[in-house]
Amino acid sequence: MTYEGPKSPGHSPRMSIDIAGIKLKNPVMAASGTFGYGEEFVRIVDLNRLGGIITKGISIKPMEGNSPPRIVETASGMINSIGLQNVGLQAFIRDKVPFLRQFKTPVIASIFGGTAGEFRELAKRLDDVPGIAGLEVNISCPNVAKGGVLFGADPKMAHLVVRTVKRSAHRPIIVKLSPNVTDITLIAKAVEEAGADGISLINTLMAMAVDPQSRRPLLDNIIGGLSGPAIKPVALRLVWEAVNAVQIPVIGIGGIMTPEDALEFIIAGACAVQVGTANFVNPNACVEIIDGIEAYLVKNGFQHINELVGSLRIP
Amino acid sequence: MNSYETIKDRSMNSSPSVAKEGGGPYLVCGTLLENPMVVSSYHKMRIRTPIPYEDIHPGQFVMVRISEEPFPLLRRPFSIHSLRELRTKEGSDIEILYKIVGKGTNLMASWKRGKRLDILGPLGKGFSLSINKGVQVLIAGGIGAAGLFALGQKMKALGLQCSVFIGGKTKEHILCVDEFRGLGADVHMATEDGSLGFRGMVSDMVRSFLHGLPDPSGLFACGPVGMLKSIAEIAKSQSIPCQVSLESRMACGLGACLGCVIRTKGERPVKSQGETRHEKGASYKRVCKEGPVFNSEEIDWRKI
Ligand SMILES: Cc1cc2nc3c(=O)[nH]c(=O)nc-3n(C[C@H](O)[C@H](O)[C@H](O)COP(=O)(O)OP(=O)(O)OC[C@H]3O[C@@H](n4cnc5c(N)ncnc54)[C@H](O)[C@@H]3O)c2cc1C
Ligand SMILES: Cc1cc2nc3c(=O)[nH]c(=O)nc-3n(C[C@H](O)[C@H](O)[C@H](O)COP(=O)(O)O)c2cc1C
Ligand code: FES
Repeated sequence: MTYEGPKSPGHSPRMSIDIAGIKLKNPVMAASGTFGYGEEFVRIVDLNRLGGIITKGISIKPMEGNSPPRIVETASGMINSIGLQNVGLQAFIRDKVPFLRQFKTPVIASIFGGTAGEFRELAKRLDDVPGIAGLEVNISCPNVAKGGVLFGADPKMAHLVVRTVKRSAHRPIIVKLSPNVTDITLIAKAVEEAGADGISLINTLMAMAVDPQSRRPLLDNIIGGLSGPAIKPVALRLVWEAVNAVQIPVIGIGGIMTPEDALEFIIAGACAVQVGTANFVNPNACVEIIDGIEAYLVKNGFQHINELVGSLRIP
Repeated sequence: MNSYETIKDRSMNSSPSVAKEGGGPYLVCGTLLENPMVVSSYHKMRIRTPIPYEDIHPGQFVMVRISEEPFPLLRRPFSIHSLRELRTKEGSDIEILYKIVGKGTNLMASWKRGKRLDILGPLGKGFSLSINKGVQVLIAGGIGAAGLFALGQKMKALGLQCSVFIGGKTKEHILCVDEFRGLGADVHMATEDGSLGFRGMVSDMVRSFLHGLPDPSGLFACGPVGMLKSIAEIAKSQSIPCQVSLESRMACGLGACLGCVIRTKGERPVKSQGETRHEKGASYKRVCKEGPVFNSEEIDWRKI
């Protein structure tokens, strides 16, 4: 693209949005687990340019994660079985948030737990931490009390978790949905009813890869989550279905590598997007996507990004 | 190709709190100067980059973007084999010595002089050098030689005496002999089939060499895990400090994805009855960030 980008990068009024009560200077955020705690990218990416940063999922206690190998590349994607390794709530508040607070970019803390009570505790303890604009509630994690069924796979469990968090958090909550369900609209409606201020989707798709030579699985955990360009068409379909099922804002995630990918989600009805795996391939992906979206708006005569949201032309 | 900002522009992005840590990593556009085959299935590429010479340390690596297309998707990690400062002081030429093993390295081998390359680096923690009078012992297995030559260059610059051991399956897999000799190092070779030098494992040759050596001051090893394990054992039994350079599958190279971890003997959180306690014991470390060079004592070799 030949467009040079805005004069004051990242602060074009054309791009600013309000999502679930959080003000973003543009609709492009870094997805949870793919941008660490921001510090890993600071030498390469101007964090002030991002619409938002979703931090690596946090649990109450530090988690060790799965044993390696944890990642494998597949056709136009990768499968990971990190196992939600994270520094834990205390270290997150003490060591990670103060760093992120320096930037003019909203930080959304991703949280997950094994029980509704753990979710509540996380929401409570993060509620008065300065520098956190909102929570992203990751319900693609196993419910310990229910034999490891994913919270996000059952409308009732999803509802319970979201209602619990909502009662303890004064800041906006976005609920991140798992695509590994039969009907995404049931879950989307359930979390909306429970008080979610927005939803984001998709998390990774359960997947697997085998080495035919050794006949061994390529991940020590055998199965993991697929991300990257390979999942984009599936993600787009799920976002489209969710957009049609709920009134609250929807954030599109899945395989976004380019401005055009992001535009597809926005046209399908997502108010904003998150960029994940692309950050590994091109650490500056978010910024390039922001510039590309803005160039598209200018070129096509849109005054504001909102005009584009849900503008899908159906014959 | 993306038009990346120059590194001068990028350095403005860094916040004061991280600026003191020293330079890099940088996301830069390099130019391929040459990419010849050195021996069958091994190539060496020389890349002109704007990366400041003083920011690169032996043992560090770069992540090379293979394709602008979605497949192959991820960058590939390669050790910085050698480096040279540009006369203009505006960057450095780095070399990558690589073995063709799959899709990415096959594509790389087809790249021609003048190609613009998308390079992320320098990454990770390199070798640490104690300036000490004894003999430094460098041990390479196969393509592991790629990760040790820059260290040899540095040792030469510091006036350290080094002995180099290079092992491989056959003589076709013995790399960099002339390069190391060019540094003035004495070079020993071992092949499993006896086609060149000592017949057997390079670790066996190192063991007997160390027996006759009055003051070895450190071992530095890069190669297959089996070899590294043997070297770590030798180092332990003879109480010689030993650093090893490890590999692992990587996605980001920046410490963000937690995909590249290996087991170490650090502190670790242990779960019991829903509670997590911190016990002294194993923990995971990121090869791309805390490594790729580790003290051999740190590694939990049973888990590798
Ligand atoms: C820190 C580090 C430094 C390295 N330095 C060098 C070097 O100097 N020279 C060199 O030739 N190789 C080096 N490697 C290994 C090199 O990264 C892999 O050989 C390369 O990524 C393979 O890519 P491919 O697309 O050709 O192979 P693929 O088709 O992706 O895979 C072929 C084989 O390579 C293995 N592999 C794939 N990706 C990696 C990876 N990221 N790390 C390790 N193994 C992998 C796969 O498990 C598989 O067995 C290094 C790896 C690391 C982690
Ligand atoms: C290595 C890795 C780690 C991830 N960790 C988390 C996590 O901790 N919490 C979460 O909600 N999603 C996590 N995700 C999912 C991403 O945020 C995103 O939903 C998914 O990767 C799809 O987007 P993408 O195709 O752009 O990567 C992770 C993804 C990857 C690849
Ligand atoms: S490769 Fe991502 S953390 Fe090491």
